Amino acid sequence: MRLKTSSGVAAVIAAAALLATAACVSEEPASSSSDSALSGTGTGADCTIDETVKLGAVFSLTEAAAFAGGYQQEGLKMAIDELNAAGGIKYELILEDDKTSVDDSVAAFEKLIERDKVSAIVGPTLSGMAFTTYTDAQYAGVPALGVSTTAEGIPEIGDYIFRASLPEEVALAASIPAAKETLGLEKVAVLYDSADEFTASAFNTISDVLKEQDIEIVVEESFETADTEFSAQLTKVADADVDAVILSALPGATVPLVKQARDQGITAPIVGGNAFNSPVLVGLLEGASEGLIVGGAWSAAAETTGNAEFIANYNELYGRAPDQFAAQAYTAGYLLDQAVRADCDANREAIKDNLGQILEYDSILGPISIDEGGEVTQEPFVQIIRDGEFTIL
Amino acid sequence: MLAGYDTLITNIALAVILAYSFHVVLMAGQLNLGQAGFASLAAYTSTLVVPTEPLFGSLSPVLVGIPVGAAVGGAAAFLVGLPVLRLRGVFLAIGTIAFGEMVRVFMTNAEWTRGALGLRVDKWLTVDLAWIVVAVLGYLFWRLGPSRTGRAFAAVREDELAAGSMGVDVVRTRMTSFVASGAIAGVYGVMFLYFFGRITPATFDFSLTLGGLVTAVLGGYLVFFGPVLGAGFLTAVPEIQNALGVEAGWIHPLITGLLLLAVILFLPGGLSTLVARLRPARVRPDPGTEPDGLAPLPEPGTPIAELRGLGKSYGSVQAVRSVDLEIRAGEVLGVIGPNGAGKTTLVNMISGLETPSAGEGEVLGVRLGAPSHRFAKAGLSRTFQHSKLFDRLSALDNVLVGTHPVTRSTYLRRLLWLPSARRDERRALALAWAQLRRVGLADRAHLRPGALSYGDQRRLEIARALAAHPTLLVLDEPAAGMNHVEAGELAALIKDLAEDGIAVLFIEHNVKMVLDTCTRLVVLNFGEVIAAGEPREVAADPKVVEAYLGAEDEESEHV
Repeated sequence: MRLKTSSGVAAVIAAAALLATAACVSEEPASSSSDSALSGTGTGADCTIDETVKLGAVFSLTEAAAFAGGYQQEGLKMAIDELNAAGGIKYELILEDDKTSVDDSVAAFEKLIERDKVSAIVGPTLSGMAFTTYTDAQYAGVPALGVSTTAEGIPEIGDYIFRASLPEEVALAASIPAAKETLGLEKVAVLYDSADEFTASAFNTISDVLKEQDIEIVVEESFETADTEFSAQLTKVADADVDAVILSALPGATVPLVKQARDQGITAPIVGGNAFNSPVLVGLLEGASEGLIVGGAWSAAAETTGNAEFIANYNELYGRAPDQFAAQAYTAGYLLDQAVRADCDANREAIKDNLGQILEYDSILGPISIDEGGEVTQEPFVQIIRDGEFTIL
Repeated sequence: MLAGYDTLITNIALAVILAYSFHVVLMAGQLNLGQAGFASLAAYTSTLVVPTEPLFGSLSPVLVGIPVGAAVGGAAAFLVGLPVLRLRGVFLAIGTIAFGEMVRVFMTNAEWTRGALGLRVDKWLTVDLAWIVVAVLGYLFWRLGPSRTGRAFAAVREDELAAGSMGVDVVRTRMTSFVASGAIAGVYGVMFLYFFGRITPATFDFSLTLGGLVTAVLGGYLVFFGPVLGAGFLTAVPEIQNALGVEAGWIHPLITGLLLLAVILFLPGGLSTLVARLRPARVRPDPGTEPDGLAPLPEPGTPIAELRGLGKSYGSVQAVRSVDLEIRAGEVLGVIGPNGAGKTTLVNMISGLETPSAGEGEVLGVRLGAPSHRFAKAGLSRTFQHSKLFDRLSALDNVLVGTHPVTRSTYLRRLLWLPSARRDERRALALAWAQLRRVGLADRAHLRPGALSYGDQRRLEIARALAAHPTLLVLDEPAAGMNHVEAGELAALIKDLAEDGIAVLFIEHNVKMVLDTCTRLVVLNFGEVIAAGEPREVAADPKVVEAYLGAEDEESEHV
């Protein structure tokens, strides 16, 4: 404890020197190494790779976004098991829980990238985390495929960033014309969550689409993700006597909002996006779900390739019906497999190059394409809930 | 070696820094829960001033952000502290939580913060820089512990009233800890921002505050490395569970919660208790030197206190009315009177604990009504009717707090290892040991007050008061609970002190002791002086006898 003054001074100088060096920031880019054992022989369906291909996944399995993470985990696991059963390539899925927090999401990405050295990462669940973690994945040169990160600007983070998740605005934009056609909308109320990136960005699209369709917005109200009490906003909606309510919200707010709307006597149809697209939500809403119009990336009622088997297998495996999150995560497994098989190479570079080349792949979401910019293209499904069942509108 | 663990390691560093912002207020016993607000303000402000390019080509821009964060957090804490620090305990906690929420709501609704969507910046914080900040904080707290300032923090935490009476400026100490907390929280906010590259108003919500508080309490705030232990534990537990193959999900938080509960139940001082058990704290030895550089006491007979028409009323109750009193250096003045006569109220006014509602007076040049630490600095030192010892400090540390008015602040000089700081600390130690020897507690210096007998506690309180080298020593019923042997020793000690030139004012029920030791006696009844003068004459005064007989039979036995 009792240093002599001279050694104290020396310690101070040493500490200062350390400080000066540690405060430096390096700008060297990640070196992309390629492992020849990860490239195999044959092409497409005949491709064989000896080495096990490690794939990472980061989902919110606990806390706020666990409603989605659980389905995503199950969907992706199912896809990987099916692919492993098909043979040729052996995949190992390393799953991490980000606890719906940015800190844990960043730590999980680092673990997968630096310690597990995975070839690609699926997830995270929320766009809010993706904006931070995808910067890291891009910097490290690891392809990342989002399955529910629908906010604006995600694929633009870099050339290693892709998504197989239909943006909210596309889903909503498709449901509005469909609803207009069947219901003859003239004036509507728009309610949106202003605190969430993707619902907030969807609001802008909604406004544009409504303008194109010559539908008048008579009430425009916002709320925040964690709100549970909406009577102030709903009273205005009730007073305005609208043809429909268009809602851009996460599932957390959706349930109380729709219930309170029905309790307040608002009978107008409610048009929503991805958040509505879950059998759980329909269950939670009970009678209030009747007449909801849902635009989404997947429909249980759609007759897409393999959809019926997917639903049946999922039910058998997990004892519950899959939702859109499960379907998209399931599809992500197959998309990654496509990218690996294209050149029969599971190195990060090869997956990055080939993910951006996927064209009209026939999935349970219908034909799906990913462009070089990382953005997804697919036809959204517009459904209405009748007698508690999703029906294509 | 550590590749791939950067985020984990930096997360620990960030948790430690946040915990230190709680540590510093808990050290001073203040339950400040506004850290999230300070961190948020600092982080958002830093986005306005921190450059987007490295400094001088290679230095991290966070080097600009850290001082800015500390300044913003500290300044905000000062402004918030002005009104909020009037509150204590749970009220202070609620007040500061409200501040944190206000900041969150403001940031959510402001335009330049992009509201709930948050801000993005480049990630400039490296793992080494984060740990250097931790090392600097650890160093600051390590040096703080055994310094005069550190003792003031501990004294305020243990007992604000006693701390003030020992010359510690309680208001200033509370504010210092509050501002330091704000500054550290500010540094945390900036570092969080530049590590994760993104903040939203919800980043700095109440759960952040709770996390920091839990880390600080878990680690323990009585030793400087508590936050490091706390953060290490909370990070290690989930990682170990992962390594052991425990499935993620609800089991993780459950196990962490159970461990947390176990620590709180069985290690009340936090994890640092374990360290303390392995290596018991050494009591700093008696340097053996006589304390030097103490100001001489005034000549016996010099007036040192004068009260004119002093009165105190609580609503309609007149506790003390128009008391005139003069105290001279070197005299032993006894104050007696039946229970409820206003004796304690009188000495509380003299020592600055209560403000007189009538009359005026001056004690050692300080006008009555000033805060208690001013009287202590001027040379008044006191004990309390019910001992107010600092329970979690050793006997020696209790007495060291007493040296506060006659020592200089050593903290800044200790940071620089200046020899003069060490000299001053040794002098304080010599002072403290001299008083422990004087009251006969030298062999029990390492014990906490709770482990001492009742009589020893009273003597320890006197030693603490003497360590301030008082001109006037005020003792409020020092012999209460002592047996007659102990009381005899105490009487001898008081006479001894008077011989050294210390004026002693004491309240006592033990009339024999009063008659033996006092040079002058004042009798109070119903707040009024009914007799004053030479002890034996006063005791024989019929008015005094009547006051006691009329008041209570039990009291009359003493007269």
